[in-house]
Amino acid sequence: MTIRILNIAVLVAAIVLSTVLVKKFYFPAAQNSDYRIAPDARLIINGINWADSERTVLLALGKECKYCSGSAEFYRRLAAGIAGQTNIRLIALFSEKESEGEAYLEQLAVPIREVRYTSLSSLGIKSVPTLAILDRNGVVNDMWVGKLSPLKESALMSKLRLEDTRSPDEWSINEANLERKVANKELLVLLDIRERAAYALKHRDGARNIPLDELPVRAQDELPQDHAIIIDGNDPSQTDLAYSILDSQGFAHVFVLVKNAPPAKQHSP
Amino acid sequence: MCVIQKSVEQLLSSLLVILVTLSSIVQAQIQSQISTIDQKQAAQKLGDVPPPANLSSDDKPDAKLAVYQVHRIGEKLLALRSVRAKAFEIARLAAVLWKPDETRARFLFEKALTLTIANGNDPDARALSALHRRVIALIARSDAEWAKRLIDSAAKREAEDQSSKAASAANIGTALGLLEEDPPVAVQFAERSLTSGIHRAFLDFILTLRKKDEPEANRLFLQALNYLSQQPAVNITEFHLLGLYLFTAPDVIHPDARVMTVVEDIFVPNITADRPGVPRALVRAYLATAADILWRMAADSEQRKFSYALCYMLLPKSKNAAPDLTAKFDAVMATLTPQVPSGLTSDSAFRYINLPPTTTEEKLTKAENQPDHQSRDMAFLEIALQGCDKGDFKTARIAQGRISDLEASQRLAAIIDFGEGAWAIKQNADLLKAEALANRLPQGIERSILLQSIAKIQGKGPNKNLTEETVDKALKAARSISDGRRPFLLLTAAAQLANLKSPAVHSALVEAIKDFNSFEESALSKLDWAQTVQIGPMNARFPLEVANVEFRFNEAFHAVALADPEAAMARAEELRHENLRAQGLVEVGRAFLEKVPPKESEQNERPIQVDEDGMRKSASKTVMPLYPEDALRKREQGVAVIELQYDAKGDVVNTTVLEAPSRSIGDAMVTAVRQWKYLPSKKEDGTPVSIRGKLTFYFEIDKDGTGVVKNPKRYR
Repeated sequence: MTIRILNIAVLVAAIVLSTVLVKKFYFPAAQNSDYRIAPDARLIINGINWADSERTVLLALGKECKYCSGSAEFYRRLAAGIAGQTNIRLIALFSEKESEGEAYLEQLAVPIREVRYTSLSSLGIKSVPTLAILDRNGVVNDMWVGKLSPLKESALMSKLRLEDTRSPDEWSINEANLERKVANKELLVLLDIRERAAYALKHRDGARNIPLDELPVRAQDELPQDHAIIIDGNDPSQTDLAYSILDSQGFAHVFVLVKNAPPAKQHSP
Repeated sequence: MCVIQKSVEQLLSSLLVILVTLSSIVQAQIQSQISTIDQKQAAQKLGDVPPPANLSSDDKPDAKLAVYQVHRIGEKLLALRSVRAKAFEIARLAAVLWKPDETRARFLFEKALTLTIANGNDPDARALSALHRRVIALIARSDAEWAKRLIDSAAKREAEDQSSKAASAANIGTALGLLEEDPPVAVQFAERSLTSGIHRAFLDFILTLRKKDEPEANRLFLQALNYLSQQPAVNITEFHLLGLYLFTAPDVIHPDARVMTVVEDIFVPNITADRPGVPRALVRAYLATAADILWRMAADSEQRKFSYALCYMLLPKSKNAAPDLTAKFDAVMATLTPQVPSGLTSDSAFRYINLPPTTTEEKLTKAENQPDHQSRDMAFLEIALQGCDKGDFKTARIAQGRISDLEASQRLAAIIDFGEGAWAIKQNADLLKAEALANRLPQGIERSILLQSIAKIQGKGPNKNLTEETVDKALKAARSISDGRRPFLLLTAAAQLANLKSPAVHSALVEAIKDFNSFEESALSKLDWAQTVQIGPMNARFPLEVANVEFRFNEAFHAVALADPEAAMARAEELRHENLRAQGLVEVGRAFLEKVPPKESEQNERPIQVDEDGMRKSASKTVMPLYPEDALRKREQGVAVIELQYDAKGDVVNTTVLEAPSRSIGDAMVTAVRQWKYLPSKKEDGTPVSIRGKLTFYFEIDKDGTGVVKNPKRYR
């Protein structure tokens, strides 16, 4: 009697279990469609053993993506830096729907040897380029999406303890150099991206004010493409954003103004 | 078996554990769902609680009360005896009431319409018809389609020969009334006016429209030409006047001035000079139509004289702009010459048109050489008048000094001082100079007006006491005026005090009301805001205009009413003359509604900030700003940024100009953006939300001096 009841219970349990399993097996995407890769997430990619190196840099790219090709110069520096390291592995990821990723990299002259094709969306990578640094367990330590600003590039390089070969002079300018440029009457716009009130209170001679939130709309109408644009602001994250906005709008000569450190406070004995 | 049973037991127990866990999870989920539903229901129930008293949920008591006050004012107006005062003021009140209470507003409009339906063709009936058209013009601001239907049915009512004229007048009158607020709808009415003739005011309309939207004005002009070219008989004078859109008289200060010049025994518009910046194609079109119309030859001998004068002025133009038409004009001239009086064909007939400009010296010498005192004085007066017109006060003073009639000379001295002060304010806001001139003036109208103009500018500054002192001086100066303009000046001074939030407004208002009551109604209507100087048969008129103050009853009373509507209502009712009382009450009604604080829900709710892409994508109606005329003249251009907030219904509720090349450009942007409409906005949970963001416009003047307002490149 007890056995019969048990048998029925086993049957019921088996049906429940199998339903759960079937559901999990057949509709995994339905559960994970909103999943996005984020720091602390653990990635599993068939055929990659994260423990093979201390850190792995994953670079998810797309052949049609203009920000990918726009970032080629940085990827070249990154790949060159990593090539000299034994404990960092660099892998380029392309969507499984694409092919000839190697040829694409060759065309961009980015020397990445290891190329994999996988479903980016199932990894939670929703847009390219995405760059992620993973540890030995496949856990994401840091990640960046989109074309990186110079400040973010150098942050990434220093995180990997790589030497950035790009001179800061290519994207930043100090006050002395600015003064020299002004004195030489070089074609430049000093762009103050702070709020109107802050600008009205005090600003550099000749600075032009376009608040950061208005920059995406106004840049094309008001900033000359053939002038050097020198971004002045208080907050590095804001000047960095302004740089990215102008860069993405095709301004070729954009610089962030680096201010002299304020004089150190004198300690009276 | 035992083993099997044991393993089965193990399996079973583990499965049971799984089952229990699963069921508990499912239970928990169902529970949580139930609890959220409960919360939602509870929240809904709270919202469903009927609002206290008889307030609907989104109207605050103040708004209800204000609407109620306006209803009361409506009753008061309906009880007036004078039909005219009643009809028009009811309509004005209806326009004010339209937004908060459309039903009542429609009812009041209907009343005003019924009151102004005229029968017969006597002067009274004609005045009533004119009023009827003004009521329709007011309706057009709230409901343009209704206004169109009314114009059509009003035209049907008129006698056959009057109907087209009346319709044309109604349409163009409405168009002019709407031009400031809603140019696109105004253009619709102007176009309608063209189907039944070209009204005199049509030229006013396109001249004003050109400053706001030149292509549209040009299009209307061409449409008018097209209409005329299809008419069997064209009034040559009307056609000649239309030419003022393209041409003007030489040496005029204000390009829109209509200079009429005497040619033999007729008066014709002087269109011998070209207006700058007029497209050649328009000139050509005008000349081609002119050639056609003139070619048809007027049957009437009077009209032939006008035809000849027009042909005389257009012939040289055709040589420049349309050489192929010259032969046709020549032929018309040749045909007309034997048909018009010989005086007209002599060269001397057009001597005033071809007058070379004379220098000041020449004019003064010529005046000096006049044979007698009176002619000399008249000539000097003429020079002084021209000097004041052109801002040449030095010459005006020289001429004034040489006038021998002492009384006239003294009167003129005050007028010149006033003119120079007003000029200093208008041209460069030179307060010091204006103040010095005002202090020099004797007590009287010139001094009072100039001081009020100064006070208006001072009022924008931080020093309230100084402004109040100036207004006080203006009041004192006004008291020595003896005619019907005095109470108007007292009232505008009170309005300035009201703007300053000065307690002195009450006594000033009481004084003004008493003063209005001390005059007969006839002494208060048709006031001339100008000073005249009479020498012999010559009567020179100098307008008493200042750039920033207008001495109108309604505007002034509105300012006073905004300070304290209840008190202003009591004062308005003390007015002896019905028309003034009615006007005052309408202004009080407006003030009641305007003082209603914005709804609490709008105040407390934090708007969601979106970027400009979002602001532009969610707009359902957009209106581009118009380039302000004065900004164009001063060549002010550049970027303009406005911050705006719209409510959940999609109506713009708040605007702040963040950046603009000039104040007038900022104002133009506000006027346009206020007309934008947005799609209704909701949060994800369905609660209505208001949105805030910025819009950018570029005001640019192109090479040929045309002002263009552009969207940023990203949105073009």
